[in-house]
Amino acid sequence: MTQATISIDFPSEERLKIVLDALRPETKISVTSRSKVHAEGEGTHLKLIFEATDTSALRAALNSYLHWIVVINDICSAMETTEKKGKAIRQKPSLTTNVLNLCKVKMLRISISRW
Amino acid sequence: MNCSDDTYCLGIESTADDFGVGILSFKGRALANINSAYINPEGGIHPREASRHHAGIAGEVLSKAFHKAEIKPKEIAVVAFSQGPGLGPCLRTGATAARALSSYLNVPLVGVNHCVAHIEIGKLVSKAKDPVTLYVSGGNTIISAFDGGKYRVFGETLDIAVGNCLDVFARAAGLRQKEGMPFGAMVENVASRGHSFVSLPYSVKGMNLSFSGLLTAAVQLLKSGKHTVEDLCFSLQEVGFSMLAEVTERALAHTEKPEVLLTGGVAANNRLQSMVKSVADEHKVRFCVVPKEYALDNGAMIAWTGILAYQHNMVIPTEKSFVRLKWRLDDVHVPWVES
Repeated sequence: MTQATISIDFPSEERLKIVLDALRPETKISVTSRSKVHAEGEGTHLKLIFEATDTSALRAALNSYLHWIVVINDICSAMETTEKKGKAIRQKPSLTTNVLNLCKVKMLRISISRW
Repeated sequence: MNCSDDTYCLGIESTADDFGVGILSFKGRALANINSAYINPEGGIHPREASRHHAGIAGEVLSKAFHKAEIKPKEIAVVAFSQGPGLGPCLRTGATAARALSSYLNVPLVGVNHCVAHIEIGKLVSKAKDPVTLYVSGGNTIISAFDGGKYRVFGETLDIAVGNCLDVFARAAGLRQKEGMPFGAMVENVASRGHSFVSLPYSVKGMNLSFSGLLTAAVQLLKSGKHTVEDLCFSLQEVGFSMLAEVTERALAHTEKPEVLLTGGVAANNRLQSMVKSVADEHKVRFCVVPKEYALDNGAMIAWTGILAYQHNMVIPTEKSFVRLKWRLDDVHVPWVES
């Protein structure tokens, strides 16, 4: 069994609520029995706990959730710029940089353990 | 419930290779219908890669839709999304985007069946009231009509969809997909230069159809080198579309509906349109076809079906908005058709 934890600090509690609303249904259904994910939030802090039978399944789950976090932040950024009547700026850095930039996160920490 | 022309629904489509955002007024006026297609140079759809494409362009497509619609986000009253059927990774990406948007705007969320959406947008744009529908695309081949609160399936494919049959043959023939030029359109183009009919298996089983044998036979004949690609494309279309026309005609004779509606991506094919129209003319019923903009997968059809569902209180709580990969057309209750 392999476990990973992702910790992200978001700029506001409102933003964290949007992220949790969007992600929680995905944590309740598991596509395969190889991995499961638990999401919890406190204040502006998101914690995603991944458990997988093997590292391939762990990597797949991590990638999926990181991409979805990027989608959520892209959606929020698009809305913010549309509300301001500006043109949305599309950034295309690497996935991790994207998460860090677009979330305006204060901290992103990934820890992986195996037992 | 406000149902005026200044109340809007935003629909997100992401069942397969297209990510689309449509914005429609509650009276059915389309303000925006922006789509971005994942194109695999090798052909086909890799579900994970398609979902990555959707994740990468979701914000951009959304921005373009609002720019085109010229409305503000706070004017959106409801968010709809394609809940199924479709490819898991693609559906989950679209659902995540829809939930985020619904939460950001603090508006209700509606899950829409993709097949119902193809029928409803067809009825909206063609003004059909109660048609027999031939829904043909890369993932679905369904002959249906409304009865007893649902769109009943009178016939469907037993294996692959007709669009998939055309796509795979096009790949075997060495055709390559381009932006705005799906494989089906390429096959149609090549078929227009064919002259000789090549005999291929015609497989209608009761009211259902089978395209896999037709595809295998066409690919084998292609590899034999005995026939030109043009003649094989021509024959593939003639046989496959004749099968569709036969089942549609029987559904029409059985149901005695006053209209035939042709919808889905393959509905853009002119040869199929002419065959189904001749069936409609023979039965003296109205022939309706969806324009190409709304025939391919698009966000507008999700938005419109979302409006219909929302007006019948079919809102889903965000925490229960799971995707439904194998959600059949005849599992969906459509109360708005009766009322």
